[in-house]
This record gives sequence, C-alpha cells and structure tokens, in this order.
Amino acid sequence: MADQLLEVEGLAKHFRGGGNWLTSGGDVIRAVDGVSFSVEEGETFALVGESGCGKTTVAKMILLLERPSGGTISFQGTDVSRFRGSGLREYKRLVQAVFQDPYSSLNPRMQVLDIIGEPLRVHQRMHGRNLRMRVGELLENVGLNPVTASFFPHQFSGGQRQRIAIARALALRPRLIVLDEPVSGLDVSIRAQILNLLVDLQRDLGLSYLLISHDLAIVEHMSHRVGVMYVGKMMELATRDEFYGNTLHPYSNALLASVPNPDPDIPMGEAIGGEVASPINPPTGCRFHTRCPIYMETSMCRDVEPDWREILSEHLTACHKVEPALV
Amino acid sequence: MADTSMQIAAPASPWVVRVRSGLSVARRVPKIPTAVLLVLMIFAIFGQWIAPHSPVAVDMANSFAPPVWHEEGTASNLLGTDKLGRDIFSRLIRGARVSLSLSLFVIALGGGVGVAVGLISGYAGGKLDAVLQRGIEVILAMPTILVALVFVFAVGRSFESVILILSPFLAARFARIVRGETLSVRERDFVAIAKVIGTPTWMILLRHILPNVFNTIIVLATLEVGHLILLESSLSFLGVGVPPPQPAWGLMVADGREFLTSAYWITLFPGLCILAAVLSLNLFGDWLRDTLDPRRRQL
Repeated sequence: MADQLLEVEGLAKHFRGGGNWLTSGGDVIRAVDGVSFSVEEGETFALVGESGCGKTTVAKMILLLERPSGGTISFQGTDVSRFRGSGLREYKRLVQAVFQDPYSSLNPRMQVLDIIGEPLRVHQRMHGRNLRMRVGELLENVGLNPVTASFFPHQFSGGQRQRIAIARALALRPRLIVLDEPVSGLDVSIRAQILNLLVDLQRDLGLSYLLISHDLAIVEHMSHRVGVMYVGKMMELATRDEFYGNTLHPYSNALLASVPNPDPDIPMGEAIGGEVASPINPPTGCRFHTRCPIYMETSMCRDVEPDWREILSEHLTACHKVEPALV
Repeated sequence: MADTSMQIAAPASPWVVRVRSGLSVARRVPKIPTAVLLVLMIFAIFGQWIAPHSPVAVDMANSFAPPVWHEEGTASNLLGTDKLGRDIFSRLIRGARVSLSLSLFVIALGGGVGVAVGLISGYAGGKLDAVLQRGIEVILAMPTILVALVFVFAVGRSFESVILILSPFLAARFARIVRGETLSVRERDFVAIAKVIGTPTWMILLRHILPNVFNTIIVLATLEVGHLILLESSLSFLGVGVPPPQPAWGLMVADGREFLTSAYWITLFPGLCILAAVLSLNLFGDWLRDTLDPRRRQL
C-alpha cells in the first residue's frame, strides 16, 4: 500500500437545524455520522452516493470550511485540527479544491490573471512579471491560451471556466485536490475533456484526488478506490476493480443498476424505490433497511447497526447479509 | 478540441488595448449628465470668481427683483433677487459648493463607515452581526430631524455639525444594504475557494466581496446625494442646517416658500438645481455601475 496522504477516522458532522437562540435548538441533522477512509499518494479516491448523503460535507470538513463534530482528519500523519500558523498555511498550500459550478467559483470581477494569481500572491508574494509568467504557464498546462490571462470569467465557456478553476488549484503545486462534482455542471460533450485533463495532470504531477461524485461512470473512469456513502454512513469501500466486479452491498448494487447503459439490448437493472432516508431521523439498525431489496423481516437489519467489516482484502462493507470470506 | 481553441484576434500589446478601451469608455459617458455635473463642480470650486455678485450682499431697495425675461427684470440680476435683494444666480453658484460638498463629506464619512460595518457584519455573522444590526436598528429608529435639533443645539450650528449629525444616519442605511448583499456574496464558491487557499480575511473582503457589492454602493450613493440635499434643506428650514447667510440650495428653497405665489423664482431655481444635480448623479451613477461591471463592459 502506498503512503497515506490523508486519513479520515470516524468523521462526523451534526448540524443543529431549526431554532435560534430564542427557541432552544431544533432537530439534529446527522449529515455525516462516522465516516472513515484514506487517500493515498498519487491515487484517486472516489466518494459516491445520492445527493444529501453527506459527501460534500465530508469535503468541506477536509477543506476546513466546516468544523467536524467528531472524528479526526489527518494529513501526512498530523491531525489537521492541530494545525496553527505555518502548519496551517502549509496545509492550505498542499490541499486545494475544484468545485462543481464554474460560474460561482470564479469571481466575475477579477481577471483570469488575478484569479489564478491569488494563491501565488497569498502564499509566495509573487507579483509583476513572475506572476504573469507563472499564470501563463498554468493556463498552458490546462490547455488555455496564455493571452486569455487578461480576460474576465464571462468571456469563457463553462468548460474553459472549469479549466481556469483547475489551473488555480494547481498553482501552488498541491499534493491533494478535492474535486467536488467537477464535471456535473458541464455539458456532456465537455466532460470527457475535463476528466482526461485531470487524469493527465495526476499522472504528470503525482497528485492525489478526492473525487466526490454521484456519477458511477465517471468514478469508474477516474478512480483507484471507491467509497459508497448513504445517509451519512459509509456502506462499502473497495478498490475500483473489486467494487465494479464484486459488489457486496445491496445499496452499491442498486446504484450500479441505476447507471444507464448505452446498449439498448441490455435491460435496465432493477431500480430501488423510495427516497433517501432523512438524516434528521435516520432509520434504526441498518440505515438502508427501509429500501433494501434483500431486507427480510429480521430484527437484525432493523435493530442492529451492522459492523464495518473487512470482507475481502481491502474490501469493507457494512451489511449483515454479507458473509466474510476472510477468517 | 473546440473547448481549448480560443477565438482571439492578433494579440494587441497592453497599451494599445488600454488606450482603445479608454477611448471607448470616454465615448460612452452620458453627455448631458456629465456636462451638468462638470458645470456644478466648476461652480463649486471657482464660484467666487464666476458669480457676478456677492451671495450675501443685501440690497433692500432691489428686493424681489424678477428674472431678466420679466418686464422689470434687469441683466444685473439674471435670475432675480430674494426678499433681501440678494442675487439668486450668484447664490445658486455659491450654493453649489455648500450643497455638493456637504453631500460629498457625508457620503464619504457616513458611507465609508457604513460600507465597512456592513461588510464586517455580513461576513462575520453570528454574535457580532447581531450586535451591529441591533445598533443599526437603533439609529434607523431615531427621528433624524429631532436628533439633529438636539445635537445642533448642544454643539452649535455649523457646516461641520451638520456633517457629523447626518453621517451616522447615512452609515446605518449603507451598512444595512451592504450587509444584505454581503450575505449573498459570501455564499458564492469563489469565497469558499479563497478560504481554502488561505487568503486573509481582509483580502477576501476587499478583493472578493467589496467589488461584488460595489454596484449597490454606487447606486445608493448617487441616490443619497439627492436625499442629503433635501435633508439639509429641512434642517435649514428649522434653523439647524448650514448657518445663514451661507447660501445652500435647500435653504434657498425654504426661504422662498412663503413667496411662492408672488416671487416663484426664489424657490424655482434652487429647486431646479437640486433636480438637475440629483438626476445627473443618478444617470452618471448608472453609467458608472455599468462601466465597472466587466460583464457589461465591451472593449
């Protein structure tokens, strides 16, 4: 196993919904409820799940935009919450992000030079000629003409904007980039270009990615390992080939079955019914039991929360119905 | 890859671009409002050399002289005289300085403080925001005129005291609106990315939030100039505004009020000046807003 870059252990985020200081707080929303995984050097770890399952909240906690309610995030062996001063600066240099909406992630009032130059100005006090040269270089890295440094975001298409966002994330030569639905906001015709660009950059620069996505086709294309989340919990975690070849958890199976296949002769898989369970009042026992196709009226599924077990080597899942092959 | 090929004309050197865009900006300036504002500014700055008469010279023998196009009008008093025989035209020219500089000072002082408070309040949120907003509500709940009366009686009637008493009210209005805009801008992804990068908070406020609320500030500032000129006139009317005999437009409107039927010119011309100034500022503000917005600016 390669070196661990980022390790997440029992991460939780509980939001207090509703009330304010007058009404003594409303319901607790368990957006993330004990999630563990790691991202290794040079790999892409994909976090998948339906909307509302807590993927983005995990990303926000890693990016220090939200404070975890419990659990730890370690980067290169150090607890991230302990970072202060220069350690914190270094973390903010080494971990960057690309968000879903390239229309919201670029300040409309700034020239591309200033957008991509922002991290360079903040961290390296770069300016003038050096800054222009480095920004030109970064624009070329993502396949844009360096002349466009003087343009404003509205002069670009969605795909080009996402390239600018990627160039900004690359500016400080980071180790880890959090990709939160990086192509969901783009036309289908542009997606492959951006994904290939990301794969090429990873290969050339030895980057690690934490890919947040609901699109299993993209995950199969990009990732090395996959983690599946459902209502704030991790359901299954495996290497890509294991996950797509030997899916264990019924929820993962249902997700895979919902991916449309371009071949009309292959029948669509059985889709699961129902809605994502609410994180305000999650089901008891296994959180998936309300929609589970293999759930039977056993008190086990309904009452006992399944353990997070390693079923095969590097293949973990939380389901009572799966028998461990490892002894 | 259609995505990467940019349609770019031959790359012009930076100064060519700058000169070209400078010219096109100059070409689009709204001509009449800009001219009106320039004339008013010239009056405000060089008024004492332009005005044909002293604005405070009393000539009782020549009171209520009508404008030049009336039968009894004379070229010496182009726009007539008021009840003390003071030349309206000269008073308008000299009044430009008082009215405009008062508004400018209040906008600069009150607006500056208000923008800063609004940015901090909206961005920080939480307890600080709650405290600042309650403070702003207290200011907004106070009756401007009444507070001004008390204040001016306490510290004395002067140009400076009018500025000092109007600034907090303006600051509260700015703070409130800027805070609201800040609340929406701070949720945009580019602010989150700036935090991820580690951009210092003051830089996020100045480089990300402020430019994106600037439209609102410009519009509000241009609107408030008119409001301030009118407020100044109310205060003058009550005897706590700019002290006479200094000419201020609002004061002149108030002076002429009782002679509206017999000597309309005392009120009409300062009123028209206020109208011209406020309208021109609004039109100019619209243009400025569009020019500052990269999406609307076409090179």
